[in-house]
Amino acid sequence: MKKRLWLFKGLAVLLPVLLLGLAEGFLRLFGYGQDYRLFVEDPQHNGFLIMNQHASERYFTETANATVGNFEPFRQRKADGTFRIFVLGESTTIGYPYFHNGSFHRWLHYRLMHTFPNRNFEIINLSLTAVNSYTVFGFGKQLIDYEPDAILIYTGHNEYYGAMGVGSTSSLGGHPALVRLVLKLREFRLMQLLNRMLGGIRKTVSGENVDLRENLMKRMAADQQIPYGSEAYHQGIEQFKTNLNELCQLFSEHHIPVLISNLVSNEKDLKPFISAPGNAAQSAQEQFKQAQQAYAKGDFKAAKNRFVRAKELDLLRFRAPEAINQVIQELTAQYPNVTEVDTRAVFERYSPNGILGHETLLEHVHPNLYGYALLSDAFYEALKKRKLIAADWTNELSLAQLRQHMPITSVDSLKGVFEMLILKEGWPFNEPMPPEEKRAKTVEEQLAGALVVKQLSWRDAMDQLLAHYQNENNPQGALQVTEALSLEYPYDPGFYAQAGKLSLSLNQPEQAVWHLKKAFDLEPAFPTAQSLFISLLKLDRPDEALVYLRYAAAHNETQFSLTELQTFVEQLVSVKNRYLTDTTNVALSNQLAAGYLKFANADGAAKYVAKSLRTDPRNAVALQLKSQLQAIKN
Amino acid sequence: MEFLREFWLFMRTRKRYWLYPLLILLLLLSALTVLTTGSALAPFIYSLF
Repeated sequence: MKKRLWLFKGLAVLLPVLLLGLAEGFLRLFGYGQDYRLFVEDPQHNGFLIMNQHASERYFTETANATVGNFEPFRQRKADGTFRIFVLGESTTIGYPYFHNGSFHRWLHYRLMHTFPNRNFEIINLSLTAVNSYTVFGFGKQLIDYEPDAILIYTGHNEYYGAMGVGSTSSLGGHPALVRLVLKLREFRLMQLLNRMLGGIRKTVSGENVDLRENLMKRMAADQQIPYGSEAYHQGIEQFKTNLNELCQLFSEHHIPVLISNLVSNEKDLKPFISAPGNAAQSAQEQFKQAQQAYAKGDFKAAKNRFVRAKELDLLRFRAPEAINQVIQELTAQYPNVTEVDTRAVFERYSPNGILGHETLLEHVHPNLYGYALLSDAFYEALKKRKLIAADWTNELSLAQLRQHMPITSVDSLKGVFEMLILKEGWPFNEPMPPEEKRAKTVEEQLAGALVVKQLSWRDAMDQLLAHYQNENNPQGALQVTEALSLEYPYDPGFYAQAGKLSLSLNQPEQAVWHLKKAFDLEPAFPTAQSLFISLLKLDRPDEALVYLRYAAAHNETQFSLTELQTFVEQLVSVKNRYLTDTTNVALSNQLAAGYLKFANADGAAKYVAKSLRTDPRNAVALQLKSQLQAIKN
Repeated sequence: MEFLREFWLFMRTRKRYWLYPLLILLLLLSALTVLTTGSALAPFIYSLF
């Protein structure tokens, strides 16, 4: 009897677990709550995955506050030769306030695609605004199964006030283990239900309407002040260290290369948000004033030290303290697969006297477009140094070329400007908006304005801008917008084909070939193949042209036979291969010139006539070909 | 059958053995949720970065 009693007691104690399990099962069965896994199947692209729009909700108490990131599709099964990069981080990492192609990862993507035109790159940005290392850790640990070739990380500024951070969470914010337990528990629908019920009670108690008055915000911010060296300050550093260390350890165990950047923030052009009164050595405002005086005197070393000190003492910790960069440095020393990306050094190199300010940054932490180009350059150089993609980087696109060619439209750029005006008008910047100019707004300004207030989506803004440039007969503008769209939608062959056509109309055959090849790789089609082999023959690349010519001959949509041309190009390839091993053989260069002339390719013919005449200026055949060429031109 | 009947009787009379753990578990989960709630300032700060 006693034995049975103990058995009943044991079963009774286990019953709550069973009841909770049953409740969880019922909630799932009836579709309550959300699945928080990082990736889901892309409903628009079969065989592709995208970031789950609910993945971030786990990190926000109120799911309504949860921020949403990019939806950049990538293949469920990684294709051979693809270099897959995942990007983790916060608002700077996702390109705030520009987003889309303003983001550093798009600059990097564009540069890598042009440096390695025959490689396929997948750069998937999983960054979100308002998050910190908890989200980076949570997302990062789910990446192992998706075959990353590299992980890029830029995070740390939101450590205190970002989601679940020590400065934005009630009582347990300073205990990473407990916070992680709660994050894990939020996977359960029962916990989601509990959270919603408690949220409802909280709202009822505090009143439904949130008071947005500035005074209230100021008062609350005062409660969130984090003095330098305080307990909360150290808890923030510890939280960052714990999350990043475990993530680096995990990637290390799986031999995944990690590139983690140190952080940059405004030093000279942003006065501290909140300063402690009294003692000058502890006053951020006083340190900032002294830094400005040193700067005016030309003592830049002292100025830099004091500007950094002012940032360290700022009680509103929107800029990461130096200790965060120290943690990053320690991690890179600890794990061989982790490389430090020295973004700070790059920014210092491109800033007057090595002091960071408005030349590269918009406000406290977010770079301007120039800054984002520099951030991409820092990661690009780190990838190059580690020889992760290839050993040979000789045909690279330089930073200057990148800045010249990167398809950032005026609308993208203006959107950033307008977004900043709105941001700075409010707390804690409180900078009044400049009076509106009394003149008619340009189309670009109208579109950027509509984009900022969310009247238009980015796609609609680009479509309207493209239509505007086409109406204005501005092919250069139209090409830029089309390139921007192809960067945003890299799996849509239509944008590449259109960019190819526009490049041809602008007499940019090299660029046209680049776009058309991308279009053909995604969706082989006769018109694309036709444009490609014609352009490649013009560029004297017959071996490459042959591939597309064969395809065009097999899928011919015209009444003209391509067989003769195919035979001719095959001969041309053979002659050219012989010529490449004997470049002083005039007979061969003449043969190439004559071949091109037969099909009215004046550029190709002229190139080889010139080569023949350089070797033998009196060569009769070459001279005759030259006169034939002149006749064609006349 | 006899076993189940006896167990049911036990549950009805000795509620503390299963009801208390259930309450404690729910209270613990609620406490964790409340103590890791975002501060009232959080939504405003989120819009800054």
